Amino acid sequence: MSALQDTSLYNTLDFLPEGYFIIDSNYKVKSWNKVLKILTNVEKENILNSELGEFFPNFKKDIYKKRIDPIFKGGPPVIFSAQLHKNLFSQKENQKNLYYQVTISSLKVDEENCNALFSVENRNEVYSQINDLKNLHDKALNEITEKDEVHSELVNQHIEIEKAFLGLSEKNLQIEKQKQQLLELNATKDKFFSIIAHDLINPFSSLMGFSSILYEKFDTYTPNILKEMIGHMHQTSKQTYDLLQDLLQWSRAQSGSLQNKPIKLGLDEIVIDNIELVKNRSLNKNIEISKSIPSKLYVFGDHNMINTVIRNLISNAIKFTPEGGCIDISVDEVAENQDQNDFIVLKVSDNGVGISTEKLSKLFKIEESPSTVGTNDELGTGLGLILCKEFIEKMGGEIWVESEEEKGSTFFVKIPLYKE
Amino acid sequence: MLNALQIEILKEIINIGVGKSAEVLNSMIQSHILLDVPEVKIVEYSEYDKFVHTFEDTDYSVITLPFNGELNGFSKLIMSSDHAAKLVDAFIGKSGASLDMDSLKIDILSEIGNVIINAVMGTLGNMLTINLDYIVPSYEKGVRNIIIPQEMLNNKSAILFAKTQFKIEEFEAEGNFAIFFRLESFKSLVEKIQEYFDKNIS
Repeated sequence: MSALQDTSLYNTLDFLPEGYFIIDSNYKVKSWNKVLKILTNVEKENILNSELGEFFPNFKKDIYKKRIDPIFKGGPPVIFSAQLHKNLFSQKENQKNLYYQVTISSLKVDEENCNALFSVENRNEVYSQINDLKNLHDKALNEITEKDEVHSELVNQHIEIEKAFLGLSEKNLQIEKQKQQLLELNATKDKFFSIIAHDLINPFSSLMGFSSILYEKFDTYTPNILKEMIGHMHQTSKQTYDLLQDLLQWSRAQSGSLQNKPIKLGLDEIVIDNIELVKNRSLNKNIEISKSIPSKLYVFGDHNMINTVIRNLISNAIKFTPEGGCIDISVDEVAENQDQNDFIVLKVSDNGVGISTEKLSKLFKIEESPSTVGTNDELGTGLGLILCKEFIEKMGGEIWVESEEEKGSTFFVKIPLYKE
Repeated sequence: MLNALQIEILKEIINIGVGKSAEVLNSMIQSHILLDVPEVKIVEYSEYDKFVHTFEDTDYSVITLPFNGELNGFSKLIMSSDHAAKLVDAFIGKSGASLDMDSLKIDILSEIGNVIINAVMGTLGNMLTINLDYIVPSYEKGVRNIIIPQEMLNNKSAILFAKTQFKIEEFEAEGNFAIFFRLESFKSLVEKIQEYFDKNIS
């Protein structure tokens, strides 16, 4: 018989800090220490020599017996972890969890048989803390998940609002653009009717009036008066013809039928031709026209368009320069744009009446374009500069003006430079 | 030293033992456990370092069950800490393991290790009729150097290393079960295996 079977030695287990008990191969309890009374509320006197399963039914289950039985044959120690077997020591159903870490070792009784020594370590406090932490952890996770969901929802809403706002902005831009187009169309239409109604009807009234008088009273007028009247009719016809020319070009530009066909053009040559065209008018007003343009400077543009622009600018300069004034045509500088394509800037300057700040801002706008009478009461259509702007922009250039009242104006035209 | 036939018998016994442990674990977690064919080899003291380096350089959780009696040595459940955490997941669910509580893991790993080690050692003892005394298993955590038991390092003795790899499919957790026999046990082991062969196979 093993010394440990001695009851007095079993009693030494009472002095150990953990729960200890011993069972024999029939699961009868041979020893039950004091700590177990605290852990299980079972008195030593009641359980000694009773079957363990009578007090703790789980020990009757095969799942436990299969693992414990080898102990009675000297098998290796068996562990039941507190977490996985929290009901091992339950005495009735629905009892709260008991976290005891159990280790079972063999105690030799004789050569063939062993008892089983159970060490029962109380882990309730540890697991209670772990469970509290787990609950806190789960709660925190839930809160984080909830917050994440709210955050995601807010972000989605924000994205939706931004999309809606962007759509609205785009629609507003479209509306604004359409509004601008409508305004321009309306201005074009107004200008067209104004020209038809006023600028064309007036000269025709004048022509019809003079021709009617001539027809009816031809014989009553002296040759000198007749010459003067026919001269008026010629002047009116010429102005009307010019107006019709401008109107035709402008309407072609508006309908898009006027195409930019750029070719190599000698700028000096075009300027000389146009100076020649207005020579009579400049001589009449005793205006000196000077030019300084390199003879081998070539631009890349549409011949008709560049010709119209230069003619209009020189014509305007004469119109708004008083007698004895001067006009200078030069090439100011060569600029480079972002695409590294070279441009030249043609300058047409006069020391004429200049343009007021108010008129400057309206100069190139069809809807506001003013028609101003020249220094010798020359009439205009108000279409010239609008045509210039339209043509220059079609060729990829720019037009702008600097002016001071009573001192004169300078028109700048940026035209693409021809490159080999 | 063990001959090829004796090594095969040892492999067979270990395989049967791990298979039994798999049955118990399956009933505990209702998950399929896969087992590799065991590997048995002698590792000389001079080869310890090379041997340790066959294990991946990571943290390990190891359960050790020392045994004495007719054979002496250590049986070990060796798992990388990551895989040990996955194994714990298998038993208690992810919410508990994600807290990284060592005490919780140690308790559960000790039991899982205990199930595997007991099944193998029990099978070994029964089949070869060897009487073994066991000491309560212990848990340790550290780098791969903890794989070889300190006592064997101190004695500078050769070891008979028998291991098998297992994998719990559903949780992608895997580990090794290894037995380190002290060299002085070799003779008894050879005798016991030969007795088993003479009695059951030849």
